[in-house]
This record gives sequence, structure tokens and C-alpha cells, in this order.
Amino acid sequence: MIGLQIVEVVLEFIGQLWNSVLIQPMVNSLVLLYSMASSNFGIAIVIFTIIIRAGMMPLTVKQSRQMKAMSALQPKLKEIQAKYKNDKNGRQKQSQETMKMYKDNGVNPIGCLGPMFIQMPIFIALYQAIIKTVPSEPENLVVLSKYLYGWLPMVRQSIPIDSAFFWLDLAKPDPTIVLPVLVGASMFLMQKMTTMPAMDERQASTNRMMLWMMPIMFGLFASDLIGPGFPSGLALYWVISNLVGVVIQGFITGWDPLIKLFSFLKFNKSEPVVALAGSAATLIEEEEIYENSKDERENSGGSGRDSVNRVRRKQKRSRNRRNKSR
Amino acid sequence: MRFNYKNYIVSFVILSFSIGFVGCTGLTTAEGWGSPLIHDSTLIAATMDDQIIFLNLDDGSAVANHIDIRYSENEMKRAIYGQPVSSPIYYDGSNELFEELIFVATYNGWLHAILDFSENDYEIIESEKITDSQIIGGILTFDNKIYLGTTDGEDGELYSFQISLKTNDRGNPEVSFEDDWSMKFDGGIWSTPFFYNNDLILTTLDGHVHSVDLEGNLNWSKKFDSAISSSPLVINQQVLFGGFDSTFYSLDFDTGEINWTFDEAENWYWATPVESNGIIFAPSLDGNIYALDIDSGRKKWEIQTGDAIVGSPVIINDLIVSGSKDGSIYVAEVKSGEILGQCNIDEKIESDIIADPDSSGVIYFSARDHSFRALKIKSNGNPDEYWEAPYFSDKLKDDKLAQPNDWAPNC
Repeated sequence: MIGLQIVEVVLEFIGQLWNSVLIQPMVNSLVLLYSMASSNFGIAIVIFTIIIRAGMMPLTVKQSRQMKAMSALQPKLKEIQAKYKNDKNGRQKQSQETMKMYKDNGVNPIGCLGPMFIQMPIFIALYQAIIKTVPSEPENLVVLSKYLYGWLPMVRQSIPIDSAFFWLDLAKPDPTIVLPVLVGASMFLMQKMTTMPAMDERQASTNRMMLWMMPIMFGLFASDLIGPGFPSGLALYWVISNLVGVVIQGFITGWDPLIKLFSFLKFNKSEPVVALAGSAATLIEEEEIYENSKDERENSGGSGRDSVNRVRRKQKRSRNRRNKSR
Repeated sequence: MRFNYKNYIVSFVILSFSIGFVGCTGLTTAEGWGSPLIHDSTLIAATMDDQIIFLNLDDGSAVANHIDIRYSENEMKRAIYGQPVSSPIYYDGSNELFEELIFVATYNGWLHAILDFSENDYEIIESEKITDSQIIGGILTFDNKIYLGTTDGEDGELYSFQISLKTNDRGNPEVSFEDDWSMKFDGGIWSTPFFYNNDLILTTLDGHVHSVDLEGNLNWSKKFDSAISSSPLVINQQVLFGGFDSTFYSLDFDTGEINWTFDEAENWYWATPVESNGIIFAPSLDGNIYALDIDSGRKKWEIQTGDAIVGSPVIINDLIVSGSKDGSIYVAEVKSGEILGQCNIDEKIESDIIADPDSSGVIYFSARDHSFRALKIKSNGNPDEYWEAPYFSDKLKDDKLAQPNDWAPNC
């Protein structure tokens, strides 16, 4: 009985913390953006999503770099796996050697999970904030009144939010299939960009499944094909968030997955480099060098850290050449 | 340290689900407030489970089978926010009284007419989808006409329907809702129009108060800084209401000019105010009821509750009784605002509180646990359970008794 009461108190505390630290600031920011964006909630969601994504950029970059580093170590990992494949007692040794390899190369195997841990609550809070801000039921409007800051009169007076955006009512699911398809397509691109190369056939199969399952699932959630769908405001957030995510990912880890996907771009592979100026071109060039060095590394069987250092030296030389030519 | 992927992945999944659970809770679908109506000796209410129920005022038992107003599971919920209303209806073109009909409008645009054929033999005699918009405010009936407001996104429309009553070949009554007139507004209408001196006063979500005559002509409009969802009260030539700017207003009924304002509340006004002996009681979502002098708007006192007040309070003799989302019923003295009694039912109360003037202080209301309850307010302000158990619309039984039997009293 006392245990149950303690759980209740703890849950209530978490709920209050959740509301005051995440939901309230998000709801008020959304409403503020709405009043600043000529009472257009669609634009407010787009701006807000970009701000949130930009704010989380350091985490995303860190996560992507960890994933990239992990990818670079894939061949070495395969070697270790192959080495202990037929050793009955090799499991522990394999684990130790794998850890040593990660340590030697300055890679934290769960480093990419850390940023995800932090991003997860923010995305869920954002989802809840959007739904709370455009309530279509009176009950939820009453609830919304509690989340608004009294000292921001602009916010209180902007309610209720006009949820119309093009053909959409942002508080309700899209009656057409346009937005669900956009959600699915953008999520597919995002998955394509972030999926790590598989170490074995089983992981490859999981990757393939996730690549298709996630977009289909979220596309269905955004439609009302399987029951009442999510509000299109949330679907709009997903689309923008995915597109911004694809762009960020592209600049960090390269556009190869997309280039491969749109095979027609293979014939004009140099075009994106030409089209992109400055840092973007540098990143793509770095990516090409990285890919070349990866092939080289695989052929020579050199250690991971040596390969990474070689890549960095090549990148430095490449930058110097470019600066001289300017 | 031995690295184990599985532990991390399992922890991640559990954490994700926990966060997801916390994040996704607290969202409500349209269920309505469940404000009841006293009709003769029967309590008629629209439940949060898409039914119209008919309960005995004295013991809460069902006096007639409930009527389902949602016809299939796949259909959108038919939440009802406005109170059911009863109105005498006359035969077309005559002063001959037919019967009192009960009208209920649902969130998804349906209007129902219910007739008590014989004693407690209630039946829907007409259901019409009158609009594709949402009906959130209540119905006003007057002189064989129905007036109600609708909301469609940013727009609102005020409708007037002529209730046409005929007797068919079999001798049974037939009712239809004939279009009389309608009037479009730039803001949705969440309020119930108020009838006063042959005019209608209504509020809209774009922050307007409108005065409209019974032919659908606009007398005047007054614009305010924020949305208004509260239904107005008109008394002594004063239009009284509060808005989302946390300000309570008194307007001149004839011109719409502001008489006075009161701006001490810290949240929106939602419920319709009530009046007694020259004092206006304005409930706010900040959890307070403000007692204001009707002539000056000066605050006399305020009652503090623990959460938002969504439904209107009721005055019984010299007591004011209000429900709060904190789960309590508060009883206070009208003159001083001193809280004399309180009962915590531990469930959100958002419905209006209604009282039968003939039943010596019994109040009726519904709570978010789908229950309908009755409390007897004693002269010292202490509320006592009046029924043996509440009536739970989501736990219907065939025996028509209030249920469950193992329920423990709260008050």
C-alpha cells in the first residue's frame, strides 16, 4: 500500500516535471510563433521544428559521427567475428577484443544511443505540445489553458489556434493521402540516410525490415486508414523534421545513400558537388576521400586508427590545395 | 567491464516506452460535460457514452431504457456539451399545445427530438443531421423555434429552425426541423444564445458579442481582444460574460457599450455566470468564483477551489454550490463567500450543477468517471449523498438500478 503511494507520488512528480520543463515551454513557444507568423499554425510548426532540430544539432552531429566511426570499423569487426567464429569459448574473447578495438579507435559503441536518449523525450514532448496546442475538443482546450503562461498576454489571446493550413485541419488527420505519403517518403529517406551498414545477414535483414516498416507504420499513423489517425499538425512536424534530419545527416555523413537510391544521379555524380558551395562541397569531397580510404583500408588490412589518421591527413592536404587554388 | 549490447537495447526500449507512455497520456477524446436537465420528476442527461438516460430524481434508478444516439461502433463519438432542453411545442399554426419535447444536439451536428409517449416511455421521434459543423453550445428553444450556434474551424453559424409538428396517418406525431434562417459569423460559436427582450445575445470565438433579433438581423456587435466561449447571462439590461483575456465584462444590452470590467482573474472564463440578489458569480478556469456587484463590478469576495471551474454553479436559497476539476463540490454562503461545506468525490467535475427547486436542496451533476450523482445540501451547507450509489453510464445494468452496489459514499 505504502509502495503504491510512493509510486503515485513519484509518477506525479515526473508528470509535473515533464509538464513544466518540456511541455509548457514548447506549447507557449508554439503559440508565440503562431501569433508572430500571422496566425498561421502550419508555418509556426515548420519554424518550431527547424528551431528544435537546430538546437539539437550538436547531439545529432555527435550521434552521426559515432555512427560514421562505427561504420569505418565494420571491416575490422568482421575480422574479429571471423576469427572467433569456430571457437567454442571465443565469445568472451571476441567481446574483449571488440571492446579493445573500440577503445583504441576512440569509439564508444553506445555513443550513438546517448543522444537518442536525450532526443527521445524532446520529440515526444513536441508531439504532445502540438496536439495540446490545437485541441479540437473543448475538454482539451480547457486543459490547454493551464499550460499557457499568464505573463504572456500575447499567448493567452491567440487561443484558439486557427488550425487551417492549405487543405489541412492541423488538429485532424489529413483526409487525403498526400500527407501520409509525404510522412512515409520522408521517413524512408531518413531511414536510408541513418541506417548503419550491416555486420551480418541477420542485421541486414533487420535493416531492410526497418527501412520499410517504419515509413509504412508512420504513414499509416498519419492517415485514418487504421482508425483515427494522428493530427496532421503532427504529420507536418514529422515531414519537416525528417527532411531537416536528412539534410543534417547528408552534410555530416554524406549523401551516398540518397545518391545510390536515386540511381539516375550516378551518371551525374559530380553535379551535387558543383551545385553546393563552400562547406557543403568540402564535406562531400571529404566523404569521397573517406570512401576511397575505406576501400584502401579493406584491401590493405591496416588498423582502424591508422586508417582514420590517413583520412584526416588526406582531408588536410585536400583543404590546403583548395585554399591555394583560391 | 563486459559490454553487452542486449542490456543497453532492452533498457533503451523500456525507457522509450515509459517516456512514450508519460508523453501520450492526458489527451482526451470528445466526451461532453454531461450536464443534466430536470424534467418533471426525471433527471434527463446526455452521458459521456453516447446515450440519453432517464433517472429517478430520488434514487438515481433508470425510469426508462436509455437511448443510444450512436448507431455503430465505427461512427464518430457523439459527445454532447450543451444541456438537453425541454420545451412546449404547439401544433402548426395554432395555439393548441401538443406536448413538451426534449431536444438534444450532438457534437457532430445531429439534432434529436425526444417525446415521452406515456409515463416514462421516452422515444426519439426525430433525428436530423442539421450541419456538418460541430455543435458545442447548447440549444435555445422559444415559440416553436430552435436556436443554436455551430463551429466549423474558424467560422461559426447561428441557426434558427422552425419546429414543425404534424400528425401522420396513423395518428402518431411527426416532428421536423425546417430551416428558418441562419447567420454566418467569423468566429465559431461555443456558447448558448441567451434570449432577452425578443433578442438573442451570443458570443463567438473571434472575440465578439452579437445581438441578433429573432428574424436574424444584427442589432449590434462588439469586438474584444480575445476569444469568448462563455455563454452570456443577461439581467437588468446588462450582458454579462467573461473572455479568454481573463476579464469579466458587463455590457449595455441595447448598445453593447461596456458598463464595467473586472480583470483580477488569472485564467479564462468558461462557464456561464449566475446571479442572485444583485451579485454576479463569475466562475473562472483559475479555480476561483468571483462575487461581483452587478452595478459596479466591484469584487465582494472570492472562493478558491483547487482547479478550473468549467461548469456553472447553482444558487440554493442563500448558498452557492459549485463543482471544480479538483474533484470537489464546494458550498459557500452567498453573502460572505465563506465555505460552509465541501465534498471530495475524487473525480473531475465539469458539468453544470443543477438543483430541483422543489426538492429542498438536492443538487445533480456528472463527473468525469461517467457517473451522475445527487447530493443533498443541508441548511448548514454540509453536502450528503442523496442516492444510495451514483449512476455510472459506462456500467449499465439491466435492473435499472443505480450502480455499483458495492460503491462507498464520498460525502
